[in-house]
Amino acid sequence: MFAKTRFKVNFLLIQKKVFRSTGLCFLSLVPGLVVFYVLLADSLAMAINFFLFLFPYTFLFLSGDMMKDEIESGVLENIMFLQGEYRAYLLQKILALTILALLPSAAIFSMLVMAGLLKGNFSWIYLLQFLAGLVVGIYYVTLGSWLSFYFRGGSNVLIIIMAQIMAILSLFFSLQKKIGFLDYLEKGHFPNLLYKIKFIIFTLALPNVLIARKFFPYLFVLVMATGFFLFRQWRRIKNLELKKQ
Amino acid sequence: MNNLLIRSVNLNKNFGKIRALRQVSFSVKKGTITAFLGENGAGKTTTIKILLGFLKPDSGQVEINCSKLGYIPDRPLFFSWLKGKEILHFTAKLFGINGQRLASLIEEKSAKVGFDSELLERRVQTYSLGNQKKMSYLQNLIVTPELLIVDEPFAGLDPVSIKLVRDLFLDLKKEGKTLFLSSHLISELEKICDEVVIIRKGQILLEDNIETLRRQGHVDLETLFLSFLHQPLI
Repeated sequence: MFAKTRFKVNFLLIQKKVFRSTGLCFLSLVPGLVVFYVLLADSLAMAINFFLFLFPYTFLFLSGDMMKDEIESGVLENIMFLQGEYRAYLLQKILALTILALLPSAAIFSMLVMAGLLKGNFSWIYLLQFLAGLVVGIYYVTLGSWLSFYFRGGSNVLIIIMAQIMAILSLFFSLQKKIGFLDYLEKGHFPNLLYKIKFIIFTLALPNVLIARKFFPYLFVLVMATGFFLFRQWRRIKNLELKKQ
Repeated sequence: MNNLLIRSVNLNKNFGKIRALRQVSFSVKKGTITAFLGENGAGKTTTIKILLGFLKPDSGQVEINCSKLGYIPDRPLFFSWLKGKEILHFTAKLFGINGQRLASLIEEKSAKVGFDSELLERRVQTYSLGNQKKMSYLQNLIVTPELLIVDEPFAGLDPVSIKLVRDLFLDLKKEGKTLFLSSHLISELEKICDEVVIIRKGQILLEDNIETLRRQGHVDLETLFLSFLHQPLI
């Protein structure tokens, strides 16, 4: 059995799962629907900005129900996953979901780019922002799948959304100060190390802000965090035993 | 080792404070049907899961001397979002079986286990327990494994299907395949098995040939098995 065939089959299995889940399909379409609405209600530039901020959520939504349910249900105790092949399946899920989220995102982005080029208001910075969004999306998939080892289907995504709501609320609290975190965030410049650390923690909860050009240098934090979560999962899957609950 | 498809040496496995397996050693010869017997909780499924790579032993070794391995669990579970035909399609793809060959294999093997192939259009989770078991047989049979490990081969099956499965095992043996069957239905296994391995509280109590046991005066496997339950463990 070749590794290429294994990935192909795993990809098809995951694709079927995503397409058969009505809730997952709908949630994944939300960013696209919002962009379409903004395009009709406002301008193309605004629609592109909305898209760039929202499309990483497609990656996040697809990362719900990744590991725990399948590991504990007993479905992996199948001839397709004998002699440790279930480990390859679980690891390849991360890559497969990334591809599945990337395909519609890239398609919508291409359409927006074409419309921008035709109207003559396309900026090449959008392309860099799309790549930054891709880094954010991959971070979401690795974070979501890592959390899904501990939380059942969907709860992992809910936890991240809750963390984002708390991060946004903390911004409102900072308004009480004369010059608060929000002001620095707007300027894209932080006066000292403490504020930089605060921003890094903020971006780990709400990484979408890194799509703004002024924050590009902070993307390395996400790359490192992605590496960390991938490593943790690789270690966990390597030592994983299937004990049906 | 050439004649042995499975060789397990001094397997130990603990789940917390529970000692599931203690120095489990046995072997399975090529082309035979081996009955793996034991009470509930004796360590049969744990042993099987170690053989298949689903669990790691705390110590000891397992050698599986074949490239194509099959497994039918006690209660097979399938991805809830897949139809029967999709499961077979993915399995075939994984093992390099093309579409035309798959179609003829499905027809041939469905008849062998008494599976209604019209069910393949439905999601497997909607099948009855017996049909899920037959689906698992079908999934394994299309792959034609050299060694087939079956946990409770007759669980959920009606008497007609039990007879079909028993005949299937004998056919597979004729084809040179090896079967390792773990079951509580000793009388059913007695009709077909060549070798017997008895496990109790994680320890192997007996590993022998069924003919040798008969020559030694043991009337039937069930009486022999029950006699072991009253023996003290070392």
